[in-house]
Amino acid sequence: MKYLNRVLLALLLIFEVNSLHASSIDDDTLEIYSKILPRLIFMSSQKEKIDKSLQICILRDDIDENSALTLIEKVTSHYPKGIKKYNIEFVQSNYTNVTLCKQTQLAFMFTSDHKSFSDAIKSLNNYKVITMSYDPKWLEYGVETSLFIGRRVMPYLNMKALQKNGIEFDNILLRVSKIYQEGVQ
Amino acid sequence: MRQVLALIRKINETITIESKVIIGIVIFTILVISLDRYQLYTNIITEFQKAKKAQHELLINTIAPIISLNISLGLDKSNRDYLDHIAEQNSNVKLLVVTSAQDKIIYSSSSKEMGEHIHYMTNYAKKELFDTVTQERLGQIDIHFDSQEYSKMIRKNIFSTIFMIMLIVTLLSIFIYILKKEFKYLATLSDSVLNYDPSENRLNLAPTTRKDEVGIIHNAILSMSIKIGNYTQLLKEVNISLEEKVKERTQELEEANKKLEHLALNDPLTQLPNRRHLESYTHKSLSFAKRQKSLFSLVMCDIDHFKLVNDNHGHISGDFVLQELAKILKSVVKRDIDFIARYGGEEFVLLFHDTTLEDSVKICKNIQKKLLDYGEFVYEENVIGKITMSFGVTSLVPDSETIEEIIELADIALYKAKEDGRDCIRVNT
Repeated sequence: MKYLNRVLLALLLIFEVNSLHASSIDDDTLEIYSKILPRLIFMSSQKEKIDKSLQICILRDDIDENSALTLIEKVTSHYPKGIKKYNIEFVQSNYTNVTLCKQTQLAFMFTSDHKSFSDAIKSLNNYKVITMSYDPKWLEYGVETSLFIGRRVMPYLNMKALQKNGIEFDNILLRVSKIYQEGVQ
Repeated sequence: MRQVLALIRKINETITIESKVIIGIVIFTILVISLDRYQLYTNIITEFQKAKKAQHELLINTIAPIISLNISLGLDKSNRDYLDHIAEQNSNVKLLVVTSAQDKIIYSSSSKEMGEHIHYMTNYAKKELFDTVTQERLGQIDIHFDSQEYSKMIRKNIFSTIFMIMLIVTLLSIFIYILKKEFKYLATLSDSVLNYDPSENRLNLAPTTRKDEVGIIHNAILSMSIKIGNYTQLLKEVNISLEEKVKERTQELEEANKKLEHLALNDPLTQLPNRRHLESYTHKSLSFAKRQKSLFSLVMCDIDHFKLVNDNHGHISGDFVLQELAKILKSVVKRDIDFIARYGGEEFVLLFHDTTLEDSVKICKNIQKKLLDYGEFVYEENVIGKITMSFGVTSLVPDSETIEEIIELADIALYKAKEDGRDCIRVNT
């Protein structure tokens, strides 16, 4: 019995840790992301990579799988017929299979542990895929875009990372976006 | 009004035509400048409109893509903040409205409706919003700008233009009134000059107090008419004087003519008709006697030894004798119808109408008696002595001889008297 209690306590701790990751996902924020994602591709140099459809990669830990599905549903809901005659296709993967995102134009990244996240960013940069994190704190670690949520909500661009990876955005997007500056949150 | 017209009239009479012309040119220049100013101001307003429109277009073209993007990205809050910021920063934005594709207002900078806002091109701008990616219509943005500045400019221009036009119309009316008066005055002046009769010297003009050129001309005409009057009077007087002189000269001429005629027909020494007069007279007398079938006697007489008088006592004494003898003949032959003439030298001819030969001889005897009664002729204490005459008488019935024949007959009788010792009467019939 004493052993059972220890096992239950351990399971409880594991659950709590995992639940900490999952609890930071906000539905409204996902709603905004779902609108932005496809358009971001068309407003960037990535539009040249579009062949027959838009390819969006969603990286998440298992704990955020539902959120990832919700996001896909929202995007599909907003763009039921795709956008500009292009269908929108999703690749959903955890951080261990980043290679699945190689052919996509944009990778949306839910929160993960530091190492997995950093490794994924490196790989995605090599694939020349736009990276967008749910949490803007990852801009500090080389993510190219996110969402600034303050008094207003607006796209958050890491110009340094974008320049480093050769990604360009339309000027008009820059006018409605907040530019990330290192050390300033 | 009457006082104003009187004042205008006084000014009109005071200022010169040159000044009036300058005033007219100035008014006309003001009119041209006013019209030009109005046109210039209108152009400025037009340019202002264009500039404002361009400014508004720039604003709406700048914000429309951002709004479109915000809408397409679903950044509603960001969009509202942005539009609030725009409305706040642009003080001339009265109302900023964003409507959705379904014409539903999704943003308005003011809760107030603009109502029947006049959509001047300058104070209103609109633009449809399109998705920058899909080009779908997202809605429309309408911006109403403050039109006060523009309205103020329009009002100011209209007001100033109306004011200028009214002022110019008033000035031009006064100017035309003055010109009309001027021309009327000139027409009256012209009529007076045309109707002027120099003979009567009557000009229907009174002196004027005007100081301008018209006044000067007016008074100059008056002055000229006075001078013409004076000269006309002078001419009249000269004419009268000339007429009198002509009359006087004519009279003198007539008298001179008479004298000349007298001199031509009479002997200046004895004042008796001369031989030329005798010839003329005897022709007329003979014609008259022939017509009347009346008697006609002619006597030719000569002073006896008259050459001795001239030689012994001088020609002056001879002339004296001739003059005295003429007086004696005149004293004897008294009838108007009878005629005495100096035939030449010391010869005289006597013509008697309706006189018989016997009566003629009697007259000759009377002459001899007068000479006898006269006694000695004395000229200036110079005793010339007694003078006698010889007479040749003829008396013929007309129709048978000419006057030359009659004179010749009398001359023959006279010659006979001279041969018979002088101082006698001989008859030749």
